[in-house]
Amino acid sequence: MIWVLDITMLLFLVVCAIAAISIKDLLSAVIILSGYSLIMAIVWVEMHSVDVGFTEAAVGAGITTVLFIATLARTEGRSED
Amino acid sequence: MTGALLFGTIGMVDVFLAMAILIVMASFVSLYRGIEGPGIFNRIIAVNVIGTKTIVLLVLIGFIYERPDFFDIALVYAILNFIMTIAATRY
Amino acid sequence: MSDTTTITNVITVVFLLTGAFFMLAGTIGFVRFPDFYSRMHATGKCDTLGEGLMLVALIVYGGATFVSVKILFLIMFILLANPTSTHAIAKAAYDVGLEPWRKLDDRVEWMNTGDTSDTGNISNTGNSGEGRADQDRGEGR
Repeated sequence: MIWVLDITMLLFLVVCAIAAISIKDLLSAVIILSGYSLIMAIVWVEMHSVDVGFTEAAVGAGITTVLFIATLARTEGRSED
Repeated sequence: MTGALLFGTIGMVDVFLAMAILIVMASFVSLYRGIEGPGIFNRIIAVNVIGTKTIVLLVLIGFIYERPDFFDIALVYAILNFIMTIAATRY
Repeated sequence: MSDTTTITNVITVVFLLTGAFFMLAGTIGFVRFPDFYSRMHATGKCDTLGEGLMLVALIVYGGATFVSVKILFLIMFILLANPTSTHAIAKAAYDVGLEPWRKLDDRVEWMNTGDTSDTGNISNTGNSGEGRADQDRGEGR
């Protein structure tokens, strides 16, 4: 495991998570979450676990994001809080 | 630079490593714009850019570890990134 | 070590460096450009090219195995998919009403006096665009 890459990846994840929370616009939060799962798949691959990385990649970008966007299409796109 | 090459594969792994770190730095920079971006569309491009970068990163890591089964993930990611962008623009 | 490996290594390193250079140029362009469309302009092109170069380098390094064929498919797909997705975003942004940035002299009337935060009043086109986007989205949906 290349620890330099790992640390930057995990830092990336933390920044993504904080950004996803603090953003008012829901659609942007959803997109940042899909970026989050993108990097998560890299971290799995980094740790030699290929199948988990595979499912994370397929689920993260493929299903969750599309479902989130579908729900957003129905509800209001901006959070009140 | 030439010294690393003369040793053949010994030098090459570090080259891949350096490239991987370079790409991670570049995706960090584009993440900054992704979070800063005024509108939604800047963020869509940011994720698109990071997606393309991670594909190259995946292939590089596949080469660093000399395990050939990483490239399917890169392929899947190429398709998913495209689908994600189309889904985001459809809304 | 026969000298052929060093030659392939040299080729891969050269391709890798040029690919990385293009990618970095695209990223810097993505961050620095004032307006949405110019940013997309930078990333769409540079990333696809940087990607292609680096993967070609890896093909050269990988030799004639199944791996290289897979990477070839990857390159082909990305060369197809990236421009189309950039186009889709551009069309979507244009429909919502995100105006492209013009030079400072002919100011558009709905440009509100945004905060001149970093580069003079260039940045206010960004949020004014968004302002307009929300307004349109309200009517549109």
